[in-house]
Amino acid sequence: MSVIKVKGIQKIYNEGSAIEVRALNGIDLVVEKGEFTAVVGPSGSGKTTLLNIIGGLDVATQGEVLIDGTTISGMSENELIGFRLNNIGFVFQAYNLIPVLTAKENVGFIMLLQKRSNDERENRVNELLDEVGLKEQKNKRPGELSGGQQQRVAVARALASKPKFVLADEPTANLDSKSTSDLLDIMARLNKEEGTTFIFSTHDQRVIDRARRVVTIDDGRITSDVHHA
Amino acid sequence: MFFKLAWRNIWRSKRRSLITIGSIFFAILFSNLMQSLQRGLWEKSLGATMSLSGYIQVQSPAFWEEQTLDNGIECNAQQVETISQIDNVKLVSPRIQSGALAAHGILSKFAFIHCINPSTEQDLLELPLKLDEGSLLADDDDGIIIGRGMAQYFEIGVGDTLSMLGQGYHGASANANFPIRGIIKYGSNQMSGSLVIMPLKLAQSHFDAPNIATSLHVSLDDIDKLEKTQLLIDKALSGQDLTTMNWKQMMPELLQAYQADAGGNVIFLMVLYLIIGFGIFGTVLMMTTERMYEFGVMVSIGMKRFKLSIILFLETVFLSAIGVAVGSLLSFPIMFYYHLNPIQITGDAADAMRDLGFDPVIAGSISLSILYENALVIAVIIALVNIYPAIVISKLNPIKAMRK
Repeated sequence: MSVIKVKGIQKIYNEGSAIEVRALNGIDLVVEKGEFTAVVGPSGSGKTTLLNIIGGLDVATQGEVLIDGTTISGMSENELIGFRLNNIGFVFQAYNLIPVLTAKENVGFIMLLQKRSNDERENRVNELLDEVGLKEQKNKRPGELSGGQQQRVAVARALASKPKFVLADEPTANLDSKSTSDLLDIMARLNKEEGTTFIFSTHDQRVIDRARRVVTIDDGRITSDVHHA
Repeated sequence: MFFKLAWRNIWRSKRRSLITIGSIFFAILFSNLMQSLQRGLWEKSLGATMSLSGYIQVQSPAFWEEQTLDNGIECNAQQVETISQIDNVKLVSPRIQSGALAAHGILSKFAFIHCINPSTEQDLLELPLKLDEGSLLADDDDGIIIGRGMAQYFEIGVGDTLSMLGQGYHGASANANFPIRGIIKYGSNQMSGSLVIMPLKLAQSHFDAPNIATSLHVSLDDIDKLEKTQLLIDKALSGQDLTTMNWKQMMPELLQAYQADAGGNVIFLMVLYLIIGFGIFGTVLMMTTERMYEFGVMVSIGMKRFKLSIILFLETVFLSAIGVAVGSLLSFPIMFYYHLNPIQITGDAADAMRDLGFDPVIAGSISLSILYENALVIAVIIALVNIYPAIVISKLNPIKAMRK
């Protein structure tokens, strides 16, 4: 069952001008539920643009994106915000936690936006912080956590809303080997045990090695799509 | 959570927040104190004037054009009772106001005779406070109280006699000698030199006008409800050959002077609030600009833009509320202190104030509306200042914001 279906996506910046840039040039991609996919490619190849369009943060010049059968291409900005809130989890390169909230509050923030009950929020937050190994750190603010710990909180936050998939843009770029390894272990376990679909954009070979599917992009086109056992 | 988020956000840059709160605090403090003293001066001056004229007068329709006893009204206890029952009416006083030639020895001068019921109105006129020498009057007294200026002019004191030569009701002559019971200090030079206070009963006998008053003087609890109360009195007296006038109608020059003074004050306050407005705007500008990345993240993960605007709005509300609350809490005791301990003006400034008819005293007003009004101005500034982040957030492109 496909969670993401990308059909003929093109993204052209400064269209019609002398400095026109074709970031994506006819991308077709289907991601099935439960996949652990890495999108790789050199800088400027279009990885982040593809993830932004799949995540509804950017709009394709041409083509269509379907999430769980729903097309998001024609949605208004407000509809997209609501769609992202309820369907997509994000993990960013720079963690991007809210600095004035504790780890627990950061994880619960999305559920608060979803207007979930206090009890449900409390249970889910504790469960997720336990899964990423930060139960003891739940009352610490991001500034009191290491980079690896912050990124684990970011993963917990991304999963809090029980999204259909998680988009992670270079999630290990700022992490040391140990933190990278820990984070990948957590995400792999969540993928395996909870069936969460993960899509990464990455340069990191350690991430690529753990991915079960590697999609390579170059000059805005998919140049290879390899499934590992 | 939004409140928590906004509250914590303002303390991310403690120094900047404290400077902003400080600027609001000082603006509130200065504007409260300035308005308290300005209003206090006028409350005192208007109060002194109104104690003589009344805030509202009930008169015969012919009286205002020709202010003589002949155009007076018959005192009617039922009428007084009806007006007294009206909301906001503090006291209804039948009075006679008339003029006469005062004489002592070879000297004479104009006297403004103001006739009151001493037992109920001496406090209203603050006579116990103003009494400089002698004693107050009783209702059935046959003596008078005069201003210090008049006493000095005639070189007379308590126990001496002052002659009053004038015209009574319907052509009767009104000439008599009156013993001086007391001498009062009066702020206004003009009033000090001409005021004679006489018991109403004595005046009605002196002017041969039994049960006649030139007008009913109405004192109010809340002067802000002047026009509304006047309308109620008009309604209560409809069908009777009577008319009402409020102090603004009777003394338009006093109203203009008040408005001119208040207008100058408004310009000063506008400059003050303009400076504060830009101060708050500077803080909001920084709070918005330096957090674009964070806003981009919040919108990306599913936060609606208007909710983000609410958080920013709450941040400025918190900053301002602290400044307004502390400013108001600290300014009120100072206002109260100057209310109880007015500033005594001396020297040429005092003479200038007396010439204008004011007591040379500036007392702080403790009207709570001063606090409300200044808090309201800050609220309007916040609302205006928050237009900027609301626009920025509405146009926010999360991808570009996160790239920055």
